[in-house]
Amino acid sequence: MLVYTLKRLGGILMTLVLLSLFTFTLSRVVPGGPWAQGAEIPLSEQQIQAFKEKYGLDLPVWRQYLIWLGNAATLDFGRPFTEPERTVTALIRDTLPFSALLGGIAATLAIAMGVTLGVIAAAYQESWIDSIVTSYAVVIATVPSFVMAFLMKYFLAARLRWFPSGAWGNPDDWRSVAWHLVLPVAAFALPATGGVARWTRQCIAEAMASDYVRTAYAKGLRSTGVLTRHVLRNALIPMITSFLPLYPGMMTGSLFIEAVFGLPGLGKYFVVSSTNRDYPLVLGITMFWALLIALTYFLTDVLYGVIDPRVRISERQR
Amino acid sequence: MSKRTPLSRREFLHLIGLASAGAFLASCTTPEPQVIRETIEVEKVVEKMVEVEVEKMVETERLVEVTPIPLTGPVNELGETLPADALALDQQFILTGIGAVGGGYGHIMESLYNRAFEHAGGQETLTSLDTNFEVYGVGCESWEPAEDGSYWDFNLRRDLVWSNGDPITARDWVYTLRWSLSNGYDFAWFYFDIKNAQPVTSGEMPPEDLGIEAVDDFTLRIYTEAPVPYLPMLGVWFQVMPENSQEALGENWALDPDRYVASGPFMLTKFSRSLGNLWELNPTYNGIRRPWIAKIREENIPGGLAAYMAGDVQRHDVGAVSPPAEIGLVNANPVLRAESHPQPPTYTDYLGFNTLGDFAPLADPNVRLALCKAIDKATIVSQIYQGFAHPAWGILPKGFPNYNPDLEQLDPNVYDPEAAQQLLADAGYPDGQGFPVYELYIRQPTTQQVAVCEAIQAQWKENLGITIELRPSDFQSFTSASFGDRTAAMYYVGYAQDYVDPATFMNVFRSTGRHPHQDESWDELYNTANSSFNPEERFRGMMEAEKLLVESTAWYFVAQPFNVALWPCNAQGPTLEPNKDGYQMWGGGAIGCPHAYQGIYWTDSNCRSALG
Repeated sequence: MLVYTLKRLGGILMTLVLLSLFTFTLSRVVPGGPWAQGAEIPLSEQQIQAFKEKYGLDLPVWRQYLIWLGNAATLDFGRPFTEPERTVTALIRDTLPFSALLGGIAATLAIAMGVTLGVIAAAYQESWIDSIVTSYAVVIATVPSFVMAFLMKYFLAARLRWFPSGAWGNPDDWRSVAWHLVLPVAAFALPATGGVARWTRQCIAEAMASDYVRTAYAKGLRSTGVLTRHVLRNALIPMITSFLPLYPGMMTGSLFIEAVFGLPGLGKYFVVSSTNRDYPLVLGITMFWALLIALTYFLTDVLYGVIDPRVRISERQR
Repeated sequence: MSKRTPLSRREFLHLIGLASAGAFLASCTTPEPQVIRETIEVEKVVEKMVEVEVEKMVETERLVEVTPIPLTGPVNELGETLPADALALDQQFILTGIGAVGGGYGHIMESLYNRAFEHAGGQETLTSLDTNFEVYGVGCESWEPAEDGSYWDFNLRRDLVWSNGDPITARDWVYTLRWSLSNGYDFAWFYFDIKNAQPVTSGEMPPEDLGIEAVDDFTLRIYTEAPVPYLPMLGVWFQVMPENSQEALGENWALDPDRYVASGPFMLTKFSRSLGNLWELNPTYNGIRRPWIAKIREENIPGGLAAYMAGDVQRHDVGAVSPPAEIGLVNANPVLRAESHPQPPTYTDYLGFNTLGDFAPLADPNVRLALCKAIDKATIVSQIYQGFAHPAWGILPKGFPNYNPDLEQLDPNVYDPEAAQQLLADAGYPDGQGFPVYELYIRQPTTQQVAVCEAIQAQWKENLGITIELRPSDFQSFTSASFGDRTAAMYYVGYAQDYVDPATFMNVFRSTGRHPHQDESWDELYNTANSSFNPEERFRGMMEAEKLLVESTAWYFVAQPFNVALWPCNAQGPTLEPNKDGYQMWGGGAIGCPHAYQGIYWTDSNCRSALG
């Protein structure tokens, strides 16, 4: 297991280095630069040169990359051109908690709701319950987030006044924050429940059709026992593969949810860093995102071993 | 803002049912008739909104004459007494969004396009514009030009102090402009009328050679390259910073409440990009912009009309980019209609051609004239902008000083497909044969701008037989291709006013501006007119220059969009009253430049109780 783990970690490191090289090159190839963001009249050559000298952009690109790589090894990703009072690392540290809280709750809710619905649908296959759950899953997954958000804000905030229409609330009062997060979490989570429910139903239905389940029933086990001890456990592997990546995806923020509900977070920086040609931010966020994804898949692999003894056995045999 | 009875479950389910049925029906309709129907409805909305504004204006004037607002309300930290119907001071705040653009710099003279704060509460501008678009002194109390027009003297206010108690003197103003222009200021071009501004910006001259000097502590002299009659207008964006502040207070001092030094009516007391910024009244302020409100809160705020209706935001704009459902809601709700304030257009979208010779057909004025005459501008604008734009016949927006409605009759503005075909054939491209396929760059476009370009693309194909490809681009790519490297053959872009004088639009069309077009004879004509201190002569000359601009066909002016601004009806105050043209504007003065929310307060009125 240790060798396997080290191999995977080495692979992740290599992937990150290659990705950084690719992103660095790509960010320098696109037209324009950070010196002209929003300017109606292009800056003069001298102004651009002064900007480049100030930020070391006048050096050969390969040298810039090596300098960046050396600094990145110590988690120093530089300072964003657009928010120069803090480092990229500080920016991620400051904004991630907001996105992580919102996305974490939304992902957990989506998985909890989706898995529950999927299990119910699979347990009552071909019944009216199955039809309702499957229909819900299809419809909810096809409703765009902006429609969901607009309907929620209009009916539940503007008309009924049950919830605030957005903003973070008082950060010193968790009840205020929780109250303000109800609509954003719902708008973020509900569309995701559809996919989770459908995939869960499919995984469980496949497991229920297998020989070992028939054998379990033949031995006289109760339905609940078969479902929890045999079906769910075997269905978990494909489910984990699909559902765990929801966390990095949702916890790193959503530009749309943050903008519509006026929430602080990391989401908007995925877009504005690129449109502003904010090189340090583009690279920093890309690497952070890639690291999260890589670690999630690494964790998924480790969990396979925990859940399925066959994975451990095959690793030992190798 | 106000409490209302919640809907019953039955009503709620009823509304959900209606919404679902509406969504279902909407999804079943064919798109084309729907667009036409919406356009007609929205045009009606705008007309009605304008009617409401006119009615309100008459009513308000009568009120002011008969019953002046009694000033017996709470007294704020500046010693200003609010009117009797004002809410308590803790409810007197402006809630606005955190700067949408990166927001890297705290002082506007460090960066305009990447500034953190939209308002001018923290620092004094040299001048500003009132709601009638008249220029008035903020940091100065008067100004006069030299007899030969070579410089202007600004007499600074003597009682202004920094929040640390130091007096604000001419040396602070001199330091500010020298520092900005010699430190890569992205808005430096705005000051290129000032003597040596261009070489100082490019580093060819030291900052000391910039045409600005302190004659004495309270007289600021600004020298110009040529006589500049509108120079006081440039002061609306010129905000002061303390002498040597960049060196003494350190980098990013204007983002740090502990180091912030204010000259304006507000002080930065909290700065958090995540949780928001807070501005509180500056007790040392002695200037003339004296707000009634006590605080400015800049926060992440929710967007959309629903948030406005819920009372979670204080300002919402409806325009061509708004979803039709929002416009319908505003039109259907009497409170929202009463809270709607049409804004004057301050922006012109136009098509431009690279005439420098790299794209041979476009260097031929007759080809460009053919392209212009093949566009049915009036129809395109009315169909696409849902009534939220005027067709543009020149660069100056409708209602702007020196606006010339006669430009509509100029040849390039007259839609005539047959004449266009003939012109193109005479130029060697009959039915568009042999005409290259060019890309039309569009800068960070809205849906409407893309739709306009698609319509132009279709009309050129249909009327002239030529094919172009659209290239919507982000800001950087567009600027690089169209104005920097000039590799774009044609482009679609907009330009907004910075102050209220024709020069704000027309200066950019000089050959030294941004466009890939050179015409020194036009420059000479325009510069001569622009530098005249005789207003009539100047405007007459500039009108002629605008006419030549249209006739040059290097540009084709398309649309002048405008918005309808909504703010709660319990916001009152003199700066929210209709101006001489009937427009009401939010912020403390004319739209298009920063203010400090002076002349606005929140009343205890329950006028919003019927909302919803």
